[in-house]
Formats: sequence, structure tokens, C-alpha cells
Amino acid sequence: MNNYKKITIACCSCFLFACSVQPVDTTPTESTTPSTITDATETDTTNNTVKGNSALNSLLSLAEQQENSGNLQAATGTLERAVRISPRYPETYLRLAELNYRQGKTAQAQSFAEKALSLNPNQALTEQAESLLQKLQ
Amino acid sequence: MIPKFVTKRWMTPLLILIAIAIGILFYLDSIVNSTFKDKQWSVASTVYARPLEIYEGLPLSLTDLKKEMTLLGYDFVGDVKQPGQAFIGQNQATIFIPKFQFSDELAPAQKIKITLNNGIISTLESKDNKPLVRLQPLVIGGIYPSHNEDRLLVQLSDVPVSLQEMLVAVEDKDFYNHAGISLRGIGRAMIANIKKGELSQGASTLTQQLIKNYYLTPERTLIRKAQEALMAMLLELHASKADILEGYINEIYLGQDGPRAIHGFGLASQYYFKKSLNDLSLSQQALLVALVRGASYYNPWRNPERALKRRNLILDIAVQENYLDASQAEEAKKTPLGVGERNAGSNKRYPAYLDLVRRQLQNDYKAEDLSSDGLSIFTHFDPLIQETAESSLVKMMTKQKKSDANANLQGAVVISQPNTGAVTAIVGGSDTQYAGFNRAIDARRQIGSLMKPAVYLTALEQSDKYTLATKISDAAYQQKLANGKSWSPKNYDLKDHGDVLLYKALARSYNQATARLGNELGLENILSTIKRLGVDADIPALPAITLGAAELSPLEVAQMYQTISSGGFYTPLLAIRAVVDPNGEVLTSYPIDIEKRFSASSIYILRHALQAVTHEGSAKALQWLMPDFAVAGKTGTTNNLRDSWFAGFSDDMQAVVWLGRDDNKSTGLTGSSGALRVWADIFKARAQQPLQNIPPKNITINWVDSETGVGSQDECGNAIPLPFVKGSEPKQEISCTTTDKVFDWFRNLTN
Repeated sequence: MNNYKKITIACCSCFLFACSVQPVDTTPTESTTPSTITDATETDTTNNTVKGNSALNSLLSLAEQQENSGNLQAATGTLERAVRISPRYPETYLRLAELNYRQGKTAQAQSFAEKALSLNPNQALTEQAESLLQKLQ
Repeated sequence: MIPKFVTKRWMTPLLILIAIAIGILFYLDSIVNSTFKDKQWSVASTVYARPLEIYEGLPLSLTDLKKEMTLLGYDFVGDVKQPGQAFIGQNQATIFIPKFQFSDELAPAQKIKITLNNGIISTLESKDNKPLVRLQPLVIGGIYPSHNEDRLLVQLSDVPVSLQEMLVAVEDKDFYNHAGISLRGIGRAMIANIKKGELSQGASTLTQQLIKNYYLTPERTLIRKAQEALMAMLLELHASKADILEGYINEIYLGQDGPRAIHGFGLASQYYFKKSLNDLSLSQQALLVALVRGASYYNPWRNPERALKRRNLILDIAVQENYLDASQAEEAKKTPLGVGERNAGSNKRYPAYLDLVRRQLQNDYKAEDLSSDGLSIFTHFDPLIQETAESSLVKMMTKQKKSDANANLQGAVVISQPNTGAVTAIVGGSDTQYAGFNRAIDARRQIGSLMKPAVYLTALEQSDKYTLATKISDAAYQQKLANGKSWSPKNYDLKDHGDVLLYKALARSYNQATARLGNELGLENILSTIKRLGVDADIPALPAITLGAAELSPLEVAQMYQTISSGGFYTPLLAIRAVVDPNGEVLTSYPIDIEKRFSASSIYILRHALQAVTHEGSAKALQWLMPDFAVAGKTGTTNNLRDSWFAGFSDDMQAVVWLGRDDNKSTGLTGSSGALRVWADIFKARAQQPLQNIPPKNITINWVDSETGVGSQDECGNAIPLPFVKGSEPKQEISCTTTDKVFDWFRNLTN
């Protein structure tokens, strides 16, 4: 393997390490099993966050405004628009969970909170989702 | 003075006759009065595609942008001045988006400028610097009243005066003076009819034509004619000339777009010119007036010469009747017909998707409301994905036809978005424009190995008993059935594979191992998993269902796989997002609805095994069909190669493809050689985000020997990494000394 490749791999690995929420083993590409086994931590949600970041943020803040002015239905619609643009962005689901909780729709609130947790959220979001789930139990 | 005996003899019948006449008069009057005043027209509901959301970071090619905008009927010009115009350059575009009423906002007309870089929108500029702008959504169809009438209602004030004048000049000169019927006209027509010996010429006033079109059947009898005249006169009593003219302008038939009948000048203007009535030139207005006499005979696309001649005649008549200057008319006569492209946009039909829309609406709306209230129905339909799905399927059909002229291959595709359940495209058969048998929804076929994930998921939910490394036997299998017969399924390659790891049995779709495992797990448990995955259809409680002896439609399969692609969350498939009334008020919205049905770890592990299908299993062709793009899925092939299935997903797309014959004969295709190819074509073109199977916290990755499943040191030749629920991983028993430096070092970093 030439130096160039080594350097590339080294860089990639640093990136991988930096992004890793929880250390996981990697898979040799020669293996017969999916080489994507650890992809989760490679690009994961950071990818989604970057893509259309300002669009997503604008929708999330619009939803917040709508929620604050009591227009919960509009807020739900806006959050769903955000979900459609980036269906793997955990924060949107957490907002939906909170909105449903506020409307007394506990089953949906729980599902959305669980969904947020399933999408590898950061520490702060994880804590928020977990505390909402606790309130629901 | 009438003699008395005459009076006596005739009085009673005369009175009866008068009474009947008065009765009829009142009856007709009530019809005219009530219907014309209350609700004059049934307005079809319009079905919209998803709007294309434009924002920085959106992956979008210039080709796709152009495709979308062509469908939307944008005018491509050098200098963008008006809504509906656009300029597309090398790597940038300027778009003047027209005003549009969305379900959540009334978006004003706005001009935006975007730059594309390497297939991604890199900048978006708009007047108030919005980070997110929607193009208006494509109209993909309508739900029409009887006779498939479609119209766009206009008010008389929106109709150019010149058009009104030409219409009156040509169709009914005396319109503003008569009381519903024109005696002069009748006289003229009578002479003509007597000469010909049949009722061939009419002398209908605009009022009569309106009555005829609005209330009566098109037969030409004297009685009907009398009724029409009577009702016309009654209508004139109740309504003003302006109301009648407005009615006429909205009612009259002006063209045929496939099954859709174009009624009224408002829609005709959109249909022929893609412009609103107000923006039509004089010659274009004249063409619409020309069509009144025979929309098919003077069809500007099919019979342009006839249409041109009649259009010019209209202009001449308008001059004769002093509505127009001769010079204006001459100027207008010089212009070409000016009709838009026939095949761009409006003529493309999506019958299979509309079918799903209709079915989902049926739950909440009555058919007559849908076809009369002018509702806007917003869906998740994506015309770009649909086009790819259609062309990919048709490509496969054509290929099959080439190798066997009698192939008669049929197929269906259902595409949805993981996590949201939005159905983005549906193909219902090889003739994608034909609104016939919708195989995506109505063809219930054996699903074969597509059922296997349900069996393995049932096992993986018992993590203390089953892991991907559990050894299961693929030896010959025989099971006694309740009816005394015995069932002994065989592997596709007719070989026994001995003991294999559980993940391998799924990836390679071994029947004997799956049947044995299914029996071990218990039918009831598997049926419950199938149900939890979202299959509502009745599945018979027979052992053979573990190998897919159950008949499901592609849509039902899509629902089942949706739960897997959405990470264990049951997510109902939806075509419709919202139904909005003509005032922009949301009547019904169909929110994203999710329910956690499976533990994160069991779904994660199943998804891992389904990824293995695409690496070393029955779908490994994907490694060269679409290399370096992670997906997961499962092939399905039924006995005698009757059905060829593939269901699979990436992070942003799920598709189920079925190929088979309507007569249930062999297709000669396996899931891999048939459906998978269509699926890969679609994903190559449309999927943007590879699958990221994110391990939940209680998952650990361990190395095992790929033959025995025994815990192994990673350096060993046979070692493969597999995910396990913590606590269920095998103890490391094998160690070796050979090392691959790069990966060794790689792992040390992450540990």
C-alpha cells in the first residue's frame, strides 16, 4: 500500500474517531459481510444536519413561532415538512414528540420520542427525549 | 262566440292540458331556478404532486430541474419577467414562480435564483432571502364529475371583452336583444331543415346552448327542442344576460384530454396555451371561440389548417359585426395558432398513483363531494421518481419481449420514503398510461422469500436464543401437516447446505433452514410478527407461509417492508398529505403516524442481515449493479419462476418491484435476474442517501468464525464481524497470529 493511501485512510479514521459516539469495530472490505456495518458513525446524522441545514433550521424556528402563538396544527405541519426534507434528523422528531405531548396525544408523543432516540441524537437531545419518555410513563 | 257543445266537449281535456302545461312549466322553472342559482357547476378536485422544495444543500441535477419545470409548463426565456417564466443556464437558473395556494400558506409569485454545483444547490437567492422555497406542485390529475368534465371557473370580469364580443358575434348575434330564443334564427334553421328533410341545423341562442349543455341530453328531437326553448325563456326571466354569458363561458365543451373533457374557456386557455384567459392574445381568443363549433373537428393539434381557417373566420365575423377593427383582425390573422406543446406536461398521466389517491380518499369523502367541490388534494407523488420507475420497468419488459416475443411480462412498482411512509411513485403495469388493472394494488401474488425476514425477525427478537451467528440446520426437511400430508420444501439450488449461520440462511435464502426454523419458532409467533410488520391481509396459518406461500399485493409488501426500512416503526403508507377547500382551508390532513413495533436492536440486526443479502446473498449482483452504495433488501422467487420480487431500501427510498404474468405462467426470471434489475435501475438514478444502519446502544460488534459462529479473533482468516445484543455475543475461542496491519491499526484507533 503506498503512502498516499495510508494517509487517506489515516485521515478517514481520524474523522471516524471524531464522529464516533460509541466506539465500534470496523469491517475489512474483503470480508463477505457488509462493509457498511459501521457506517453509522462514519457519516451518520452529521450528514443530514449539514444537508439543507439552514432550510431545516428555518422550519424548526417557524414551527416554534407557530407553537408559541398557539397554532399547534400549523406547527405540526411545518415540522412534518421538515421531516420530509430530512427524515433522519432526530431533533424534528423530538419537537413533534413535545408537540404531541402538549396536545395530550401521549401514544404519538412516545413514538416520536423513541424515533428521535433511534436516530443517534446528540447528548442534549438524548436527555430531552429520555426525560420526555419518563414523563410519559 | 264558441258554440256551447264545443265548449262542453273540449273543456275538460283542454283544462287538463293546460294544467299539465302549467305543471311542466313550473317543473322546468324550478329546475332552472334552483340549479342555476344554487350551485351552478360541479368543479373537479385537483390532485397535486409534492412541490419541489428548493434549498441550499439539496441534491438536484440540472436535468431534473429542467424536467420538473417542463412538466410545470415553464416558459424558458432569456429575460425572466413574468411568473411562469424561467431561465436555465450552465449551472444556474432563474425561476419566476407563480403564486400558489399551498395547504399551509398562500405563496406569492416570486423570483428566485439558484446555483448548482456538482449536483447540489449551492446558493439560493430570493427577494426576502428565504432559506427554503417551493416550486408550485404539478397537477397530476383530477377527480371529475360524471362524464369526466373538468373546468376552471372564471368570472365574467376575468374574461377579455374582445373574447365575449367575438363569441356573441359568431354564436348569437341577437344575444343581448332576444328573450331566450331567436325567431329569426329559428326561421332560418327551419328552412334549411325542410330543404334537407332532416333536423340538421340548429338555431340555438347562447341561452339555448347553455340549457342544452347544462340540463339536457344531446339527442335532437322536437320535444327536446321545445323543452330547451321553454327553459331558455325561463332562464332569461331569472338570470341576467351577464350571468347567462358567464354560465356559457364556464359550461361549453372545448376539448378532450384523454378521458378528461375540457369545459369552459378558463380551463381551455390553460389546456391549449398554458396561460390564463387574461393573458391570451386576440388570435388565441379567436381560436378558443372557433372551438365552440367543434372542439374535435377544429382541434389545433390534429387539424391545424382547419383550426386556422376557422379562427380567421371568427376574426372576420367580429369585424363584420363591428366589434373589431379590420387592421387589428388582419394583424391577428398573421400570427400562428400559438398552442403550446401537446405532449409537454398536461398530457402525461399517472393512473396507478391516482388510483391509490382515490382509494385513500374514499375513507373520508363521498364521491360526489370530490367531484363537485373543487378541492385541492396534495399528495406525496414525485414525478421525477415516477418517470424513472416507469422507464426502468418498461426497459425490462422491452428486453424480455426481445428475447421472447410471447413473454407477456407484467410488473408493478411501489416506491415510498422510509420514516415518513410517503408513497412517491406507483407503476401498475407495463402500459403506464393505461388506467386499467392496477397490479401494484390489486395483483395479489405469492411473495416467496420476501416473507423470510418476518421469520428471522421472530427469531432475532429472542436474542437469548437466536443471534446472527446461531447455527441452524439446512438439511433436508420434512413436516407432517394437520391434514396428514407431508411438506418437504427444497432449496432453490436443490442442495442441502448442512449447518449454516442464521444470517447466511437468510442472506442466501435457504428454504430448508427457514422452514425448520419457522417450525421451531411456532406459526403463531411468525403470524404475529407479520401482523406487527403491518400486513393486514389474512394469512393462512400454514407452515408454507414461512417460505412465502401467502398472496400479497406489491403495496401490502411495501407496507410490510416500510416497518423495516423505518427502523422498526410501523408507518402507514400515505399518498395524500392534505385536502384543502377552494378557500385554502384545510379540510383533512394526513399526518405522519408512527408506532414503535420492534425493539431497536432486533430491527438493527435484521437490517444488518438484509444488507448481507446484497453483499453475499441472493442480491449480491448489487455489488456490481450499484457498487459503493449501501442498501438492504430481499429477493423473492416463487415456484416455477412465476413471480420475481425484490423489496429493498436505502436511507431515503424504499421500492418493491414485482414481475410476473397475468396468467400466472412462468416468467423465466428469478427475483435477482428480474425484479432486482429494475430496482437497481431505479435506485441508481434516484436514491441519494446510502443506508446507515445505526447500532443502538445495546449492540456490540464481535468477530466470529463464518462457518461455525464461534467467537474468533478478528485476524483469523475465516473471521467476520457480526452485531449482537450485548450479552448474547459468543465468547472468543479462536485466536490466530496472522495480522493485516492496516485494519489492525484501524481498529486500535477506534477501540
